[in-house]
Amino acid sequence: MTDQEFIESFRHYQKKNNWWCDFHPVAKLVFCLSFGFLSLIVFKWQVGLAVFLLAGLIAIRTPARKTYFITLGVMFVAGCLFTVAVRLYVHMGDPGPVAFYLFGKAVPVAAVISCLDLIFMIEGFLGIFMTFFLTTEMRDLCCCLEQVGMSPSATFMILSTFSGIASIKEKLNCVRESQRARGIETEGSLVVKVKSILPVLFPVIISSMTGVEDRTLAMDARAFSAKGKHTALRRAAPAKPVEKMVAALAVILCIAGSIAGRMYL
Amino acid sequence: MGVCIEFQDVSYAYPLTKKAAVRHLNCRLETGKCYGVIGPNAGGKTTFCNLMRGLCPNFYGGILKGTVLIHGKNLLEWEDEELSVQIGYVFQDPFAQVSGIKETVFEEIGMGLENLGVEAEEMIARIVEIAKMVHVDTLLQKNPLALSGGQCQRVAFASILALDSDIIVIDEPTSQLDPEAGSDVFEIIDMLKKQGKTVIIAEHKVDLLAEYCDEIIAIAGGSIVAKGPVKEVLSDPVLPENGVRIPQAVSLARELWQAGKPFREIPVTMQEAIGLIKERREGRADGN
Amino acid sequence: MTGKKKKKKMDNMTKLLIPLAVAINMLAYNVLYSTTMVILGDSIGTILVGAICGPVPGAVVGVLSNLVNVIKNPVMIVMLPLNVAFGVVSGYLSKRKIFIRLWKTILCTPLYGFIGGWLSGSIIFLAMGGDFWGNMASVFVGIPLFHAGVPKYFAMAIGQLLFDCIDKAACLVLVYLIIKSLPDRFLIKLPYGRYVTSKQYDESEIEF
Repeated sequence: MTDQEFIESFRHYQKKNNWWCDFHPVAKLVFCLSFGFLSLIVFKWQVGLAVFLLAGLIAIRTPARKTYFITLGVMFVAGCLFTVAVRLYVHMGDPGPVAFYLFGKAVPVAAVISCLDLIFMIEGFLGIFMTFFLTTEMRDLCCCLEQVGMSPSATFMILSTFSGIASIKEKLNCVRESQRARGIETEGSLVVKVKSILPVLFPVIISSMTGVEDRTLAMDARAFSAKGKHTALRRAAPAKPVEKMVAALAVILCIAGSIAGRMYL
Repeated sequence: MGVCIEFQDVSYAYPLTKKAAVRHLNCRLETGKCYGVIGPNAGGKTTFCNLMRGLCPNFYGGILKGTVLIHGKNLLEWEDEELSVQIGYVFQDPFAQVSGIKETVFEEIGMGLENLGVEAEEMIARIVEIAKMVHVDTLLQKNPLALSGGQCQRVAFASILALDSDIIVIDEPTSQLDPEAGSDVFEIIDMLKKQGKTVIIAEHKVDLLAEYCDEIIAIAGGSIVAKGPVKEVLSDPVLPENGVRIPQAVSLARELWQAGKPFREIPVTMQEAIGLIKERREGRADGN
Repeated sequence: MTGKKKKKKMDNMTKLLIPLAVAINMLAYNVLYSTTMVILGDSIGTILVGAICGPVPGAVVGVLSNLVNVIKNPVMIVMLPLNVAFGVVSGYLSKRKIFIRLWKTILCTPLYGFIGGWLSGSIIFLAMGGDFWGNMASVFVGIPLFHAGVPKYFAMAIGQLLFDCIDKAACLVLVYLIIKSLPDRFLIKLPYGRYVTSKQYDESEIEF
């Protein structure tokens, strides 16, 4: 992009040319929250699976599909399997109809179903949230939240939280490298590791905290605390009626689904 | 010319200290002039700047005695956000001035304007103009966190200049920059001067100050030891007595004077010194 | 009049400290948990801001930290009340000048342990449909206790409580050390700074 094109892009609403990516962030958030909570509240594998499939369908049609399925797979292996193993172990030998035998002990059907419930609840919840986070830029979400009426300092806090995590990690690595250069052992047994980490962690925390003072002043110099209307350089398109309707429908579906699911499943 | 800032017997002590940082300051700063504030470390330069901007005592706490008048109104009566628009303040550390929430330099410069509620079209025009002025127009698409110190300081300048304040206070802008970036900063200051802004710079590089400023305020040990036109102050023997650094040209003139071969006047910039030396050589050639 | 202005300024500093505290939470968790496997450290920032800025900023840090966790693992949303509670409790403790002395700070461990352990145990119990979560506390304490005949809920809660006390004791000591290492002139600018610093001068003591 040339500088001229770049400057020109601020004269229009931001566009990404993908229907889901360009979906109004707040409407998208409401939509995803509704289905996420539906999955969490009902806590049954049928609903979880449905939400999970819905999320998958949406994800396939966005450019973020690769990251989506890789992350979901990793989360599945790391989180769910461990939890499931613990569950199966606890319920092993419980009375009831037997599904299969593991290490000579009976695993009841109820335990298997409870595992499935858990897995699909998590996968559904995770999936629908990831379709949101992978396709929405935080700054666009914050911009829209500001339009809806959130205070600029609240959105500032959200945005700087995310940038802060990245920069503090960088700082940590920097200190770590320099400690290593000075010959402090960073690899080895647990005690060695803990001993090496505290002198790294501490200065990073202290120095970034004292740095806040200068940053406060600098922000203040840019009229950060100015009262009155704030405007935004980077603008997002206001929500279309269709988008609002989709969000509203999702909320209704979530409430109705939760009640029905709790009653009949 | 009108007076924009006036100090009337101002003393100030930071919290948790028993000793006042500045004592009995009395001075008037006129609109449209460029002031250089010099003095040894911990002499009160930064406190002097902070007082003008109202950071002492509003931000730092502590105890203020006497009155600071800004555009004729008492510092304590100013609303803080109003004052931050009236007086632009550029800080020492270039990296601490990056907001960290904007992904491009373009948006970073616009942040102050967003806070003031300027409309998008006007904002874009203003950013483009300022970016050209301080030579960051090639950096517009870069991430502000990935800039070098000099670039960062220029972006910081741009973000403050975008607010179009009449008074601009600059606290040691070049202390963390390499010499070349340092002279870039002074070019910007020169431009501001031409636009008729009041500029106050606290700085160690006396030689550069001598070149660009109209008046010099020397602060040592918490009090003003000298104030006035550049030439008058920099050649004043009271400066070295108080540990204030003087320009090389003045030191040269002093040495020559002690050696019994004084210039006909004391030069403050290198240019002047070179002129005087040339003059002397030509004079000698004529004499021979 | 100046008092009102002063307060406003400090709020700005708090606004910048909150995101930093969230980052500290994440960082501490990454660094401490990956090496020790016992100390989570993910409430250091929350307790710290609660102690130096007050209960409300502390709670905000809790909410934001939780939100960040939710992005990584949406199920963590059920832990939201915990993080908020840590922030609020720290604020109230700080007002009683707890964080000035190390022994006072350490004495508060059971309180945090109770919030972190019992409350989180109960929430997990509810959210997981009355069952164990697959974490260290359940595996090492909860499940053996359960097998020994303790009711499931108590087994779970006791397991969480024990593990949490270790974690919170470490966090509190770290928070105390951080507050001690921060310069007084920095702390004094924060809303609760006067509760964590000891020396202050009067106008009459200053020589002008």
